[in-house]
Amino acid sequence: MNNMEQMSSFILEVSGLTKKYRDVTALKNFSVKLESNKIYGLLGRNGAGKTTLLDIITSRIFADSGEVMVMGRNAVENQEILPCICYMPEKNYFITSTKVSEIFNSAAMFFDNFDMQYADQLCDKFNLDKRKKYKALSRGYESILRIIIGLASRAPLTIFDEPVLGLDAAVRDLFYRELLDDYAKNPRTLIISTHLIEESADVFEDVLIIREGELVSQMQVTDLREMAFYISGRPADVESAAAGHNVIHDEIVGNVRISAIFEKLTEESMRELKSCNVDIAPIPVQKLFIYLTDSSKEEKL
Amino acid sequence: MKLDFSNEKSIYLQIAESIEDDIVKGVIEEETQIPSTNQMAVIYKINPATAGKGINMLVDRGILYKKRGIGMFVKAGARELILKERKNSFYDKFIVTLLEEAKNLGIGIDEIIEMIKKGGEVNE
Repeated sequence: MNNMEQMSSFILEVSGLTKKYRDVTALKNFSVKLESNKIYGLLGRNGAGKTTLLDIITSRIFADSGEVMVMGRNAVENQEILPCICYMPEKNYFITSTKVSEIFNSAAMFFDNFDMQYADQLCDKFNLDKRKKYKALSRGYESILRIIIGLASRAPLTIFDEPVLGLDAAVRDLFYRELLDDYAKNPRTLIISTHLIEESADVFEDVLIIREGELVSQMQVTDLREMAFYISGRPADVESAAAGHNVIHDEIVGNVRISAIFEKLTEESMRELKSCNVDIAPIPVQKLFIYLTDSSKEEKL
Repeated sequence: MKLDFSNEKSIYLQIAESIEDDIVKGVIEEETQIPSTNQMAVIYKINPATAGKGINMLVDRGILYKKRGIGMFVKAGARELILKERKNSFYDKFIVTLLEEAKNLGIGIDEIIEMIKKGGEVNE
């Protein structure tokens, strides 16, 4: 039963997912494995296939081919598995005339671990009035409602698609801290897709970068940060310094050439670089993300 | 403890360094408990695994130790150890960069020595 044991260490295993919409291929033979009790960031440009992937994992739509296993079991329309997954998509389909409190009641019926007391605490913190009807909520409070359900459900696999849309900086900050606090008390697997990478990157343990329906990178955030840096200086110096390294972006500003390198360097090759008469500086995560997801480029990562 | 997210240093290295700083300055005393990774995660808005990575580095170097079921504590003698290590790396960390920048600016060794003496007097 070696096979079974191996399976159980991953909460989610997706293999060979392909999904086409007419002539657009949203996912191409997509495979990924996620470990239990980690916070994953799902990053990709608009139209990269993030929502399609999340919709398939949660049986909202079906793949043309491929497999989704959650906790070692086939998850597609599996009545026993689906209550273990809390998916808060960008678009909600709550009935517009229901009150927030009623939405919580239904969530509590569906999710075994739903903590109503915690939901109430979050309503106070985020200033959400439970008596309001869903249709009376502003864009921001719709996001807050999704956040509260997602957190209070305490599902073993919790998925947020763009959770902080329409929220101001202070509320986003509150969300990240609340998420980390509750994650510490109740470890579970979280997948968070977002465009706002700079502010959220360090909340994630691992990131999944998806481009044109394919997984281009899966790694620890700490590695991601360490692997990415600019070198700049006189064009000839930069060229010779960059030779043999994985350059993911290049630009010339006046007389200065700037190359972005994405590669795990040994201390020795780092020392070598430093002796090349070039300046070395970190790449902001948001920039790195743009370079890595640029569909006009085809670097091997 | 302070973290600088625009700094080129990894967040976990900064975590480790800021704990060291606090030990050197006496903000955290030897044989006392440091904040848990989960507390640090919420305070700095970082993943607890990242905070844990920084703390583990200090465990490996004999600066922190784990009391089972309680948390992480500063080892007796940790302050001495950090001071010793920092003195050892003083040349690489400060003198080398100082000389590099001085070379860029065309400042000679004698001039640097003068400056250091002047700075020293101010500090005394």
